Amino acid sequence: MTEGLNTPGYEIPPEMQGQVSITTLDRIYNWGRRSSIWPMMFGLACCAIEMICAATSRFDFSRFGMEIMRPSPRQADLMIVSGTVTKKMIPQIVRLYNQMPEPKYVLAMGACASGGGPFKEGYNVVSGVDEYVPVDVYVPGCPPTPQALLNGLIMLQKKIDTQSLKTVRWYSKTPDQALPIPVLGPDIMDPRQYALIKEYTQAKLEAQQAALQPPPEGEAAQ
Amino acid sequence: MSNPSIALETDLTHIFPDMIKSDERQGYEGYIVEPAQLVYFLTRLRDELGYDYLSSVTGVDYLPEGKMEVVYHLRKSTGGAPLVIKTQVARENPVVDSIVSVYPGAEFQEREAWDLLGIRFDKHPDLRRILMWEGFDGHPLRKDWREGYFEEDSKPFKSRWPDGHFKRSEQINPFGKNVDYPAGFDPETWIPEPETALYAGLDKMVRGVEETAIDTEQIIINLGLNIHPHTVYFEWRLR
Repeated sequence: MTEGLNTPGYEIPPEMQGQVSITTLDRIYNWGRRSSIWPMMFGLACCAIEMICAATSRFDFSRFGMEIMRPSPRQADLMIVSGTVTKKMIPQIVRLYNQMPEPKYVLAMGACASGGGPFKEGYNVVSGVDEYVPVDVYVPGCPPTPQALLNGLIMLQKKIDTQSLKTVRWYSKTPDQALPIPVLGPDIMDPRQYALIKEYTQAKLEAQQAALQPPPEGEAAQ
Repeated sequence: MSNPSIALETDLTHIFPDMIKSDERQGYEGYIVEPAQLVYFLTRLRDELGYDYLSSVTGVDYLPEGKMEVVYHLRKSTGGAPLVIKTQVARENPVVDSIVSVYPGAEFQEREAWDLLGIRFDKHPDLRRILMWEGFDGHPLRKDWREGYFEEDSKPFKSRWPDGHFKRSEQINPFGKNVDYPAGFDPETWIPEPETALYAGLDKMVRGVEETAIDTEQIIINLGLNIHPHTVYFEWRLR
């Protein structure tokens, strides 16, 4: 394992290779994090079954350090959103995402979490969890095979390898804002879009009132 | 009758000549009963003819005819083909008598018909939304209800074929989501309802269930977050 950490160009004598490694702080930091990602036990629908298969002995992801699936968001690094995200569930998903401590990652597993999937036009479906929560890796499939999920997790590990202590958001000077929780109104509402909603509904009301005006007074002289 | 399983049982219009009539539409089966006599008719079916198992309650929206229909599938616990009973009411402000007093299992199914189609059930003990949330605007399975991403009634859309000028649904919708809001709605001044509706069912369970057939104690076990499919299996076994 220490061979992978060693910065190329610095040759270590063979008898010391098991004990000595010359490396950068970024690589150690990322190596520790990518080798022990603890997923949160978060299965919503059918993709959860494939996630369980990826966790069990045949496709085992504990080989990659992910054996401990934590039910509590406070102890998890990775939220694997597996399954259709409904409008009723999205406030809970955002709450759980806020409760996860940094560094945290989100993996959208399956077609439904990536972009709505077969139920995109559904009246109770959020077409893609990335409408509310930032996603790091998308794994397509309906459901993705366990091998595909493992590929996605390996890709997440590669993404973690590219991060640097100087630029990660949890060590930046600006404080991290929690995501606003969506509100269940006449339809699901994102608090970040309140101004846009108000503008849209006002325009709709005005159009309705204008349509009720008798036709001869065509030019609306408010 | 064309359906062989119904041909084996007696024709109900002979037993109840003035209450029901047979559904003569092409491809349909069953009996249509007047809404005013629904509860009485189903009580007699359950008590006299032995249809003691309500298999399903569903609603149908006939937009061109201006009717809402509620369809009941009744079965006997001794076996046999289902009996199909229907009532029809006007589509404007549809109200049907609730059959929870006859078949308690209709409670959730009538709530679903209310939630998705807007059919009110008179004398239902707890008529509130079950799949959507309280405060949702509209009844989604009505034929004239349109979701945020609606473009046309059937595919291929005129925007895509034959010219192929494809635009993603998220780009067309002003919010980039499958949502729509009623005219004049102001999210900043709107006060959300407290979650009393959400907890009303739990409240009833905690307080009011004394009159059960089995004389035992009742306790409520909170099994916590049941998002792992293995624990959900365990919870079902416990029930």
